[in-house]
Amino acid sequence: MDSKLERFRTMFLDECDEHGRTLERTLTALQRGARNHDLVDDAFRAIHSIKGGAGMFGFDRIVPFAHVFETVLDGVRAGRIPISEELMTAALRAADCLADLILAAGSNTDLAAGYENMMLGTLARLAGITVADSPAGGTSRVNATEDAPPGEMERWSIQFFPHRGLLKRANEPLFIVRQLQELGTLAVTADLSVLPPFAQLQPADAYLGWSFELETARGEAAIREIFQFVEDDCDLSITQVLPVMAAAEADPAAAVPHETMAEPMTSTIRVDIDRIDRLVNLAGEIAISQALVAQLIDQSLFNANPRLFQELSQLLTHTQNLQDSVMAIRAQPIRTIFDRMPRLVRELAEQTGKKIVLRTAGENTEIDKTVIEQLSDPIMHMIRNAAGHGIEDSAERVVSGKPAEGLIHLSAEQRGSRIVIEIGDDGRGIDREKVRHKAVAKNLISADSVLSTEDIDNLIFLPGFSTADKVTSISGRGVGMDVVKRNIQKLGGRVNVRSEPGRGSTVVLTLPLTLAVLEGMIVRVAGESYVIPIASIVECRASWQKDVGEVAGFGEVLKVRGSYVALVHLNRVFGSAAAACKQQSVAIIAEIEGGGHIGLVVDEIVGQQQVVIKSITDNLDPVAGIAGATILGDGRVALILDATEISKINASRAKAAWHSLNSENARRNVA
Amino acid sequence: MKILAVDDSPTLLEILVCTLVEAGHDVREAGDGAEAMKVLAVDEVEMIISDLHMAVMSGFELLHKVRQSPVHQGTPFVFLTTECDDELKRAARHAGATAWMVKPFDPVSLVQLVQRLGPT
Repeated sequence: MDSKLERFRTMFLDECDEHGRTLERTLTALQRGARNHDLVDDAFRAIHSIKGGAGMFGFDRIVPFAHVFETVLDGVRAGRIPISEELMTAALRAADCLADLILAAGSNTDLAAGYENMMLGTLARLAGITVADSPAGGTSRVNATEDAPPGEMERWSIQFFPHRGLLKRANEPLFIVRQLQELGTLAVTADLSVLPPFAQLQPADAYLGWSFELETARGEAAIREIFQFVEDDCDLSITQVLPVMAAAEADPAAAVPHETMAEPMTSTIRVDIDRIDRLVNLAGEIAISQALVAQLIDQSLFNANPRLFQELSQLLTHTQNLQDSVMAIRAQPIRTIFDRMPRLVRELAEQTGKKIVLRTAGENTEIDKTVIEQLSDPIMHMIRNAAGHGIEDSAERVVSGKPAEGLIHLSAEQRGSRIVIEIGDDGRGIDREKVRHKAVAKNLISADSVLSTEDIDNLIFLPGFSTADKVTSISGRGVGMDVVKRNIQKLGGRVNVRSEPGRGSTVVLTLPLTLAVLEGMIVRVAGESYVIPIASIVECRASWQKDVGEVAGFGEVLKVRGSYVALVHLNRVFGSAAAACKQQSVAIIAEIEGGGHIGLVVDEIVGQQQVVIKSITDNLDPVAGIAGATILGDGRVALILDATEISKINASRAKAAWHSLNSENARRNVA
Repeated sequence: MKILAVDDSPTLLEILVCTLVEAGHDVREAGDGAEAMKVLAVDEVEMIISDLHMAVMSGFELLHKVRQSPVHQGTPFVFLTTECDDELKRAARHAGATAWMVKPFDPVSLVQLVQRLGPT
């Protein structure tokens, strides 16, 4: 491939992604019965553009495939080939195939030889052409006038007399002369016979004719090609004169003078992600400063200076706008992930033999770039689950009065400062008996624990859980759900499932708009404020003291619905060793990685708010149990707690205590 | 030379624009026929290079409108397209096109074509 075009390669591959999405949208609609002509046009043009570009970059496998595909769509466009569901289904598979070819070309990998041939055959059959007929169109034709291989030197006499209106088509005879000059040696004689007196001259009309004598080895076809565009506007005769021995070729056309390269104008700009992060940070800082200022200003100041209130309000508005704009820089529509799903569903439907349709909503919902890529796997996993476990096969569905086609719906929506993504199906729902049974069998819950239906449903997120009777290649063991939950929590979000037996299940992902911001619960411990991420809080217990137990060698535990969680008194961790337990202290049950829980005792709960996360590890060594810091509205610093870390510290401390107790006993025994 | 480049494939348009700019021309660009007409309404160009199949307004429609406009009715109009059908070429000629170049195009040949079509 021409090295000069290398820099456009990525651009072209991105463009092909866009065309792929267009094909998905239009062909799916047509397959479902839409007959809007625009859809066919859009699909045709998408393939056409892919073909045109692929030729430029030398993607040789794409061009012939795209050409046949394009021919099919052209036939549909012109009404020669009727639209049918069967045809559009084939077209969708062809679009998938094309996407694979593009992916392979873009990553310089090779698909198995003949990968696309069967699809090509199907398309060709539908288009009514034989594959051999479909020339690669563009690949071999680079320039219309320079193809003919040089042959014998011949002499031609060309009479060219333009009609009056030739110039009106912007055809400049001089252009023709130059092209003839490039074919060989040219002698020109002008014919002025029709030229009128000056006073009667119409400047836009053509009055001159020419007689050319051309010596060229390029053949008649090359000459005719030059006149192809003016043929109808002139009197033309091309006749060969006696052949002549090869004479010296005319000088090659002078090289185009090399101008200094001008930078093309672009409407986008590349920015280092670090700079964006810094900007996001600064916007957060400004928001905090502004809140502090607002707090310092009291009514008396406003009374003394009325304009102060006005200007401060303005400042508040501007700051909010600034923050929004900055956050928007990193935001991308979730469409980039959603668009991959229809193909997945198609493949799953084929693999399982079930009829499944995917409906999406809210593709334009924007999410921070840092979050978006991490969502792809979880969402795909849940769709696999829905297709593998949730949706029943058509026979079973019809028997229960459902439409034969199963529905999976995928939606995204912004609610306040959170993004809510739902993946649902209208299948058989969660079998609660089975789930509970399995959970007990695997010792994840105790046999006598009292659980609400919602609790049972959410048991599927526990690690080591699976309701699949057999492992299938489609959805694996189903253990992925705990991984999904962990990954979503890492993003600061939460996962929930709700289900109705026989009606279906829906998994709900809730995510913060951006990773830099956290929804936190502000608590007080030993006179200081701390933040616990709301996403990991399961429950807050006001009267917890009655449920406390002691485990020898370990420490305190709290009984929570039939099981025990480790209990940590944060005032002992962060405050003085023997700080008394306050009357109104609260035990906060938080989730930790790995599926367990921990109880954190705090002096009081202050409230709940969004906080801007500030890293402390930029300037300080990491401290176990602390995930970061933030500045609260009152200007004080609050440390953000990491429940998992605290749990680990607690466990290792207990272990150490146990060991020392054991060795102490051992020493005593020996002595 | 001031040239208007029209193509609905952003990549191809970019390649076309860069090729012409590197050859020293002043280039305006448009993603479809309607955009092109907007550009022509405020800018006088000395040549138009356009794709055939485009959304909103096709190359043919654009050519038609250009040939009707007082300012650009005599401006050289080149089609740059993957199509090479003779029928199509004849139709283009009848509609007033000046030349036809096939995609994928060799940048050097394009520059030469442009030079030949331009003022002496």
